[in-house]
Amino acid sequence: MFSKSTILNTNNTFKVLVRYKRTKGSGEVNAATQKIVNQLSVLSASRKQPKLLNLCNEDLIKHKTIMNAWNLFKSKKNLKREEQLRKQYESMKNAMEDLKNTNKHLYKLANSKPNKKEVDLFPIEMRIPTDYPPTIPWIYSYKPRK
Amino acid sequence: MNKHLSNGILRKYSQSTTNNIPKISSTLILSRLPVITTELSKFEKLFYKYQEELWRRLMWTFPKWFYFNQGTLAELRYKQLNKGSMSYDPKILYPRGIPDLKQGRDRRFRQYIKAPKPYKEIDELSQEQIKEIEEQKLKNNGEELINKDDLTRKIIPNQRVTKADLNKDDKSLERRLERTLYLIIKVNDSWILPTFENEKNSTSLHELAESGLYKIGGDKINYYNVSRIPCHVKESNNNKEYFIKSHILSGIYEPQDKKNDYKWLTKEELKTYLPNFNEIEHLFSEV
Repeated sequence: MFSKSTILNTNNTFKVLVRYKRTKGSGEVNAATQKIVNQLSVLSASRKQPKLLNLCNEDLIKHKTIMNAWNLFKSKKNLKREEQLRKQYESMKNAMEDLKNTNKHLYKLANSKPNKKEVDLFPIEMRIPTDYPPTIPWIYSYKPRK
Repeated sequence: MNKHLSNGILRKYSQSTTNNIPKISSTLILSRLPVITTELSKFEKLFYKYQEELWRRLMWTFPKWFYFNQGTLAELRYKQLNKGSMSYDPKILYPRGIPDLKQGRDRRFRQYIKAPKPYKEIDELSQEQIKEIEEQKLKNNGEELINKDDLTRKIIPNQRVTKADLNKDDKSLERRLERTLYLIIKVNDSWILPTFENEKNSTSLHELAESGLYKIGGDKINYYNVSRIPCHVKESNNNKEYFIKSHILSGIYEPQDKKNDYKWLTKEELKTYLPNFNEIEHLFSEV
């Protein structure tokens, strides 16, 4: 009798919860989704933004002075360029008016557009200025087409 | 009848002006455009430096995880070069303020990133290594030993100052690469822009300028005519000079008559050579 009851008791205490390896996490995603999340995170500002600039009064005045000086410098440059362009336009107009009065034929030729056969194409040899010169700065070996 | 009469009048009228028909000639402004960008003034340099620093300071943190996969060799190399800042420890005193780390970057400052490269910059070398390189340079005619087939070699840009600048060669097209150069020639002991007379008054101004240029400078010139329309007119004693603008693109100006001197000059230098410079100053480029 006694021994039977103990077995029953022990039987009850054997019901222990066992922890297995976790198969599903709360925040985990599969590899493909993670890749897309990584890619999108490059475009997103979250956790990547620096602190805002907090300039003191003195720095603020310095910044404004620099920007004012820059605007003044640019406007002076622009005025000079506009003046030059205006002069160029005036002298071009003047030259054409003059040519009209002196020689009608040359005036007509100056105003004419190139024929379909001899189109003045924009040259592909023309290059945009770069910060440093090419290894061969100038091409001397040009041969005229015949 | 009436028609004949009017024609006669017209002819008579035009004949009366034939005596003082002005001599037309076209003057060529042949320019070599700048090859490199203009030299910045000190103020511009300082301003651009200031703006760049502001821009760098306000940049987002570099997304390292996107460019370097975790656990790869590339990431290891990146980590060795870019050691993260110290995180905040309340036991430490920070004289420059408390660090504000996020993604390994102190958000208060700009982020400096070093990329791995196969060579070292001068400030990364030791004194002995610098000595070694200088000895190599001396052996190799003052040039650093660089394998030109190596794709990861150090990039050394060409000099902005050319040999023609150092030799003060006025006739070279390679001088003053940052400025526009203009061609002037010497005729009867005075410097002028090349001028060609229109004898029959029938060829157009730009064709006259072209044929004249080939006549005095050979045909090895590749040029681009900006417009058929003259950009300026200069009148003197029944002479009319119409100015035509062209760019030289490649080739060389070789004077056909060896006595004829020529020069390629910038706007400032032209001032001392051309007598009527003030009149035509606006035709030349500031750059």
